[in-house]
Amino acid sequence: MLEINNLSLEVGEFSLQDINFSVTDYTVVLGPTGSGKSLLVEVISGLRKIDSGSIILNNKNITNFDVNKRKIGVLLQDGALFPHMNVMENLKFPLKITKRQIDTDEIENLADEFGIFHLLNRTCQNLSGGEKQRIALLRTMLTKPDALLLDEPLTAIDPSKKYQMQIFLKYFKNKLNIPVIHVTHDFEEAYFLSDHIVVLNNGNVEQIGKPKDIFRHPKSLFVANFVQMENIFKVKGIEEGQGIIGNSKIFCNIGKGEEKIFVIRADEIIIADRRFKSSARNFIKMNIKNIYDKGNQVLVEIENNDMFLISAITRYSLERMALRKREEVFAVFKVNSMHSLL
Amino acid sequence: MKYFKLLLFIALGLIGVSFLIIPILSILLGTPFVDIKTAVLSREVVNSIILTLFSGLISTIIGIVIGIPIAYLIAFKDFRGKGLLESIIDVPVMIPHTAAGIALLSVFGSRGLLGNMFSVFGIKFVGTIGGIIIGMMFVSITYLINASKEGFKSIDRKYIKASMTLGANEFGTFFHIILPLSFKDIISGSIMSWARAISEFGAIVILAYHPMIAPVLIYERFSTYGLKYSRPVVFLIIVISLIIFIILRIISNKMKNFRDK
Repeated sequence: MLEINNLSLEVGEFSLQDINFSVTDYTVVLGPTGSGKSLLVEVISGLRKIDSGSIILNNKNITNFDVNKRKIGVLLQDGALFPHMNVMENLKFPLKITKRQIDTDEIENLADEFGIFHLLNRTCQNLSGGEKQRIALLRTMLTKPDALLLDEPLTAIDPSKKYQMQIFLKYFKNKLNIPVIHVTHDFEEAYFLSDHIVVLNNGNVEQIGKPKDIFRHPKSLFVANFVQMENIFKVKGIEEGQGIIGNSKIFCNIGKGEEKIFVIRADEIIIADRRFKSSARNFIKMNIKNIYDKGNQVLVEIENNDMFLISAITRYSLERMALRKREEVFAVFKVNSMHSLL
Repeated sequence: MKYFKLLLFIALGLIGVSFLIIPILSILLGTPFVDIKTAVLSREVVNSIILTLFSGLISTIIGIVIGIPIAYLIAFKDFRGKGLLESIIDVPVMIPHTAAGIALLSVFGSRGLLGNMFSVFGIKFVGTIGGIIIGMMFVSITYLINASKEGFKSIDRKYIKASMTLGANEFGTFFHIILPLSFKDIISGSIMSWARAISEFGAIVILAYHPMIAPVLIYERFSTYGLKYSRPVVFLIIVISLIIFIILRIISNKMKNFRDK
């Protein structure tokens, strides 16, 4: 287990403030550019000293250990393969530098598993982004680390090859039994790969949770926006369990006089062409503003005088209901699908 | 108008190139073969050229050993007085070399601080190869340090970070990553340093007139016997230096510059 306790660091005008989380599985640290993700990688790996706090790895306090004594493997953005060495020399480097026995057969077997066996005698100059990352990952694994840090490992990879590398990381992750911190700004990547997500914003931890929780139940406006929550709206409570947006009444978990910001995912809003008996309590009359076919789903923008919502439906539903712009429809959603922000 | 500007640039360029080439060509083409043959057969001339090249080589090697650590510290470490240190390193390039010779004589002379200290071990600098090497090193080490420093600074820090996270300590990273990645700059700096060393006259003529290096021999022959007797030595040193530099440049250009990839 890798534990980050009360970690703080000031660098110029930026600071990491009182960061706390622990990692036992594949955890993705998610945040926009400038949120402090790479700085966090640097301090956990030991490339930079912290002002206060502690880093505990398998019950050992490694806060003041030198980088090369931490037993934390680090995969940098584009792999950072040494350009003056060929692929095999790069792979042997961590063994050579720590005077460990070099078992060429073992390296070749692992290279085969990583899909890079055919590259072993190549120079590093003309490799693709994905190949470089696989080689760098194997090079890091050859240090036999107790924890692994992956710093934006998919950023330098051609978009068409990104998915393949994600699949590879997913396969690779299942074979690991060490804590992994994967840093990225890409929510889809985080959702696909992680067991847990730590959302970082401006040097602070905004939310920690399972990917589904972060996706469906963001705790702050920042997280909601970052995970591209489609529907965010403010509700004023007029009585227990009922509020208004403009003149539209809405059933939600709210007290009288309270003001809350609610979020709801587009796929939790059903579009109906008429009222029907349902366990969902919210039926709001609206008009279709726009319809966007996104390939795997159709986004329908609906509005009335008071609110604007986005619903995600299938193309089959769109065709079956023959929905058209400006058509009057009902937006249907359950009270429990709405989540209030803190 | 466009062509006029181009022609003007070509004309000015030709003047500049002629300014550099004509004096050298006048030596190369205007020195009688008989005089060159006599110079080649002269033990004094051959010895002075060998001494010049050898002393330049030793001064460059010592320069590498003590200059590279300085370049490393400047490139990678932050410390108080770093700016001052960089200015001090540039001093030999700025001061007249006869002044450098006087300064070195006052330190390495028999009554100087270091001269006195080394004399205990029987090492003298005035009028010895040691003095020649010290003089050469003083005026040439700046080129080596600055070229190495720029080489170190231009290495992408990700390689250094990767090396350390893979288990290398600072020394391991220096020898396995930093040195190979900046090798071309160090070689370029060494060539420049060696070139500067073998062309030095001012500092050495004060510190070690004897044994005579080629520049001192040229000066002595010119001042004692005149232009005719100094030209063959000049011819030989130019030809030998040109051959060596062309070979070194070819080798250095063929070295891979990994940072460009």
